[in-house]
Amino acid sequence: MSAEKTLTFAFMDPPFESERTITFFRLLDCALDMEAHINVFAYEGAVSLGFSHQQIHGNNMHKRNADEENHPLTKNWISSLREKAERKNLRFEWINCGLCVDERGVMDSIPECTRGGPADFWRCAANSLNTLTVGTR
Amino acid sequence: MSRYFFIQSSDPLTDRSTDNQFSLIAQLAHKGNDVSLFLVQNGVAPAAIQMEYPAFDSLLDKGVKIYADTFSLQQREIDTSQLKKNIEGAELNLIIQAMLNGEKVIWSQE
Repeated sequence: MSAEKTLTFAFMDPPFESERTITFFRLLDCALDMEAHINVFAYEGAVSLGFSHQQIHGNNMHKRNADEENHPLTKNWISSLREKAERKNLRFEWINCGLCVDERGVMDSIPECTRGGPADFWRCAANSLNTLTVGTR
Repeated sequence: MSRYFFIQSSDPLTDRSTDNQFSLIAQLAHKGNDVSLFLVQNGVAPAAIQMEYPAFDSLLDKGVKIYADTFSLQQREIDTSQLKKNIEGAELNLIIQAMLNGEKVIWSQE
């Protein structure tokens, strides 16, 4: 994989909490559109983005069942991005911080997410054209 | 001269820490660096002509390239015709392009 068009992102927001999560996924989609290989290092709450037990739900207040509510799940977004990358013959690597996973008990992630640590972030950044760290408080 | 590309996602009226970023941007531009600012989410609020925010408005004449995410503008019912001078509506791919160009891309939350 060439570093010329590889971008690394570090992200720490959990799913369903912040608008930053939406923007972050939009950025990843843009990067694939621009033919960039992608590395993601998810740490802190972001390790739950790929938690396999996320489930859609209905909304009784709005009288909508689960299908009508069509609740977005971040695990599906990760899968979709991975599929898009494969269609475009691009690399899409998603690494969850293992320590953060253990803290939260979200070991059951979708297969697209692998377990790693800060050293992987270092490796990814060192082999990328550029890195964006999206921090939070 | 370095190239800096800042991302701001917070509304300055609810997050005064944005002042620090605006101040840093002004200083970097003053020293002759190539500085861009991309407003997204609630960060697009000060781009609207109706909102006065001196710490942000002072950047408009400092040679800083300022962009506002069109999706965020639409969500908040801000038309691009309502943007202050020297601010362009733009897509997120500008951020990716900046990364591919090797610019220092900074999304600060402090």
